[in-house]
Amino acid sequence: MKVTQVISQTMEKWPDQMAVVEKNIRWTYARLGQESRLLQARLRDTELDKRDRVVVWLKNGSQYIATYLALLEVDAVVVAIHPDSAISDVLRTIEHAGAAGIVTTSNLWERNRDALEKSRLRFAMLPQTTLSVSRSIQMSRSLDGLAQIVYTSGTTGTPKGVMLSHDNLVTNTRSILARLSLSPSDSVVATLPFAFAYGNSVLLTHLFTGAKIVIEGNLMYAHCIVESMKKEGVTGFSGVASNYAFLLRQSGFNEINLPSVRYFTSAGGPMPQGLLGKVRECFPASDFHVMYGQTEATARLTMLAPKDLDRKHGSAGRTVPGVSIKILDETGEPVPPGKSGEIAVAGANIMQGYWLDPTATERRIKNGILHTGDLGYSDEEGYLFITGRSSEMIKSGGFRVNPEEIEEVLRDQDGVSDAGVAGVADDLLGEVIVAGVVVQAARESLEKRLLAHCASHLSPYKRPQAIYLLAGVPRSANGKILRLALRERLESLHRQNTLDGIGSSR
Amino acid sequence: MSSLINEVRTFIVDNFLFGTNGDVLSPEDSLIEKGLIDSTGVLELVTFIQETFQICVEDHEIVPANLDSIGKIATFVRLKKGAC
Repeated sequence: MKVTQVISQTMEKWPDQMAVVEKNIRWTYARLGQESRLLQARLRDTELDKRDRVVVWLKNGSQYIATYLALLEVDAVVVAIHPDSAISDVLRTIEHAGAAGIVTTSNLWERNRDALEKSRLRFAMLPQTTLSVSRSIQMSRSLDGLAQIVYTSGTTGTPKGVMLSHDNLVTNTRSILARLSLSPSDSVVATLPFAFAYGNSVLLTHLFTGAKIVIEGNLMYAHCIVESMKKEGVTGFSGVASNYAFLLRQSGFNEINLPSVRYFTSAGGPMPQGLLGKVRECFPASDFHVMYGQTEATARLTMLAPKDLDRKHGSAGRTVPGVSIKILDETGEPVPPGKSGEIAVAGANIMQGYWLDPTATERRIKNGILHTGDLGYSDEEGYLFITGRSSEMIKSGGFRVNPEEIEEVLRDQDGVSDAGVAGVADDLLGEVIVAGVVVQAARESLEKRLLAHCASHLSPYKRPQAIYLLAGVPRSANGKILRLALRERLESLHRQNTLDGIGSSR
Repeated sequence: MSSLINEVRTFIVDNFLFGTNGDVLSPEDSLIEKGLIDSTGVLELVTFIQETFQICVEDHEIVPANLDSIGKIATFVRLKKGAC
């Protein structure tokens, strides 16, 4: 079943129910349907083929949602990118996905016109007009049922595009709903980027239900989020741990100020127990759902019910309907409850593979089972506890970032002979990105030069917070970076902060 | 007023633009629209304003209307100082 078939049913059932609220835009489900149909007509004019990839470079908002639904309805494949993405990231995604078109704002188009016109895009769809750019290469491969490619951080040479089908999305959304039990009277303030798995699942769960999505663009200002929640009588909030830490700094984030809030969800990295305790203290009558998942599993794998929070302290919960989980030892054999190993999962929510990367796909999916790269154990009752991550990804503020991508950018700069990047524990963001560089000769203003270089080549959430001088990057005999040793070294440098650091400004 | 603007500009250029491209930032430019600021950046900005201009910024004053451009920050600081 297609995602848009389910949402069309919602539209028919609840036409007058509010779907999207964004500043002075207030769209009912009927209106959202109309807006989507207008865009579908414009998309058909571009002679879009089935399964053509279309990049969506838009902020969270009504336009994003209408575009997303229109693309899925005309059987195109949505490739959404973070609205703050650096143009180099955007171009790489267009190239790698072999995108036929882009949907973006006039502003972003004008600002990046030269670069985008040189890409292989066939068309650019702006709010008022559709421009033809050039002819893209047609690809003839079977992409049956493919709905979306979600790019996660890879290296610059090999971006990782997670392929999700309509089936993946419908199944996982329904599994989450089985546990969350939302109704059309619910509403959520959407602060998570729709372009990534967690934000995407928040969007779909609410659209499937006929619930209201409140767009709040001023994410840097806790006060604006709280005001918007108050004004719209929002019933739910979904965030990564750092969102909660940020909102708790704001004195207005409590039950007295927000009496309508009845549930919270957290995912996208561990939710520290102290932080969870504080949110529960502020909202004693609200439900808190701790969740765990991966983009490669569409979004959600396990959820911990609010009633189990105390009984199963620190657990990521039980599998959502349709997902089965096994803990495997190093030889790939299942281990008994209580014993730690790699978390492996199966279910109709497992991705179709990585776009154009069968080797990486085979490494992660073996016999239909997704190897998450995360470590954990299951207790006698089937509750999952995450103990660590075996993969080398940095998790910062809910974003998954590949250290190698940043290392490539740093090594690219004159005077840098080697670079190593690691995630260092941080109260607010979970981990912050910290870089170490080896330089040929220490130079004045190198720190600023490197930070500026990163700022122009990396999207904001991928930029290092601090850069330190290293005598050498720890490497194994065959040249592979020893990630653990590197992280320990950078962690101690970052703690001392001032000693031999050439910079730690942000 | 202009020295206030310059002081704020220097802070923003040094901390969010890493010392480059300062010329392209006008007093009216939105820091959010230009992608210069994130939530940690806002907190840094508030700390800078409090320490440099010796004023106390309340939670409800941490809103884009007061802080989202060099010009808005300067006006906000001037009003706060006048109120003391």
